[in-house]
Amino acid sequence: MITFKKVFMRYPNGVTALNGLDLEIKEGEFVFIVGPSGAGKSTLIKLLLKELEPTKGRILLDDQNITKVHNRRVPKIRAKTGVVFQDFRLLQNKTAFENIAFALEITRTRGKDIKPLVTKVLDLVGLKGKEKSKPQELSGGEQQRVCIARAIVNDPPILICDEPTGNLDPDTSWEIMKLLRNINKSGTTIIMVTHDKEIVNDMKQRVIALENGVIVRDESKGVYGYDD
Amino acid sequence: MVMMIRYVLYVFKQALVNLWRNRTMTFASITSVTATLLILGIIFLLIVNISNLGDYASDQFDVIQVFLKDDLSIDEMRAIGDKISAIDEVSQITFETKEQALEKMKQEWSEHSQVLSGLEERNPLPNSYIVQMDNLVYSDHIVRLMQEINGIEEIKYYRDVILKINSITQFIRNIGLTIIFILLFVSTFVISNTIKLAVTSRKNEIQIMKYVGATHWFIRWPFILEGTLLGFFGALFAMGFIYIAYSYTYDLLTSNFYVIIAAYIVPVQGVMTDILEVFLPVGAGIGALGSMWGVKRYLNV
Repeated sequence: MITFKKVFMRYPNGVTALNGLDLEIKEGEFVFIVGPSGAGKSTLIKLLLKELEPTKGRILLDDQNITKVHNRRVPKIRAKTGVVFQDFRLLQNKTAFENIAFALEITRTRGKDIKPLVTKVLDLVGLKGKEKSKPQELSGGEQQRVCIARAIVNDPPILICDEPTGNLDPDTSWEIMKLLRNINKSGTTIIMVTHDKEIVNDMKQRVIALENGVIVRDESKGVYGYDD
Repeated sequence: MVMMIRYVLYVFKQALVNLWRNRTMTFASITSVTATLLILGIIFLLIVNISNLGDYASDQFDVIQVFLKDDLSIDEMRAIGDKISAIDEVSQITFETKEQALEKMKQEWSEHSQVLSGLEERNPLPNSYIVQMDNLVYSDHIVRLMQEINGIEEIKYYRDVILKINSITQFIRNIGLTIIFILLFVSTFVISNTIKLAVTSRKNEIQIMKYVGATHWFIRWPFILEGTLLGFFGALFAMGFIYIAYSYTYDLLTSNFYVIIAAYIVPVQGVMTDILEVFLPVGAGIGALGSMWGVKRYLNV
């Protein structure tokens, strides 16, 4: 489903973030990306989200080369990926319901379809009854649930999570991980960048370790493997 | 179709919400556009009036007036007329009696013509020939030939004046157009900066929109409409100010002794229609242009 072929990424300031990366992720997988800061994890995500163009190499998404596509086609590619951020990035002046509905409105979902879709996804992430709450009235875990709900409401085949538990306490982190696991079980491919040792070790999923822009370890039921 | 209407409503709502949310900047941009178009309007009015004056002057003065001595008989006057007509470059001559001259003057002075009443008894104006020529450039030559004819009191012609008026009109018009272009550019720039602020203040929202797959134009349109509205309102205010100021000036000039000046001023109604036709499209145009520029530079989608 996702293929990186000899991908190089060199920033204008001369820093090489990816150094000929080869990677294949299949549909329905749950993949952790780990590694020290500056290993190229964020770059990998930005390339998938079409925020960056690789210097060299090809990235395939469903057999479609997403490097060098016309600007106009970028939204179509982005529609295939949902994103969950460490800092949630919710719109503070909108309620939980509106934050999720926003994702539907801007992809031009029909007005009468919005409410049932949002209700369903709120239910799925366990936020029933919190529709009318604004982000500042929600706990960190609840805000992350809203963020996840927003990411999956358009039903993207891939969910990219950039340190989704980075701002949460261990218990809440586990709740979020359970939720992500359930989403994964329903067929969504999940790629999660994390520094959370316990979570990686306990989940027993595929682990890809990046260092200096190349994969140094790729294990199907891996562990975190770093001390910090 | 329903989707289309929904989107148009969305765009309008977003644009208006943005204008309101950044109302300090909205106010600043509208003021800037208003000021620009105000100056533009003043220059425009100046150009229109000076051109009008120039045309009027050309019409009035592209003839040579030949004033005849007071004691000539009709035959003598006719003989002079024949001699003038005989000059090759003269296209037409018209005889104007002293009575006609007075009547014409009364008409030009319109309501203040009572000043002239009583002059019928001892009309001080001379009989004259009005000589039209094929081309203004012949005037020196024609005048030289006419100076040799007896019975002529004075020859008046305004070649230099006309040329001067024309060159001044041209000069003012060029300077005015230059200033207008600079101002239009400045306004466009100010609007693009406002859009930059609007984009910055909604950075989060835009990023989220991008991530959930909104199309580029979906994100862009509200900003473009926002800029267009800024330009449009700026133009509207500028027009209001100009209308009030110009009406006031016009009334002041026409209702007073300056009536002679007022005759050369283009009336309010005519000018306002022109301004209406020019200002609103120009205002909305620089708004749209400025915001497209801003969106292209600052909105990275």
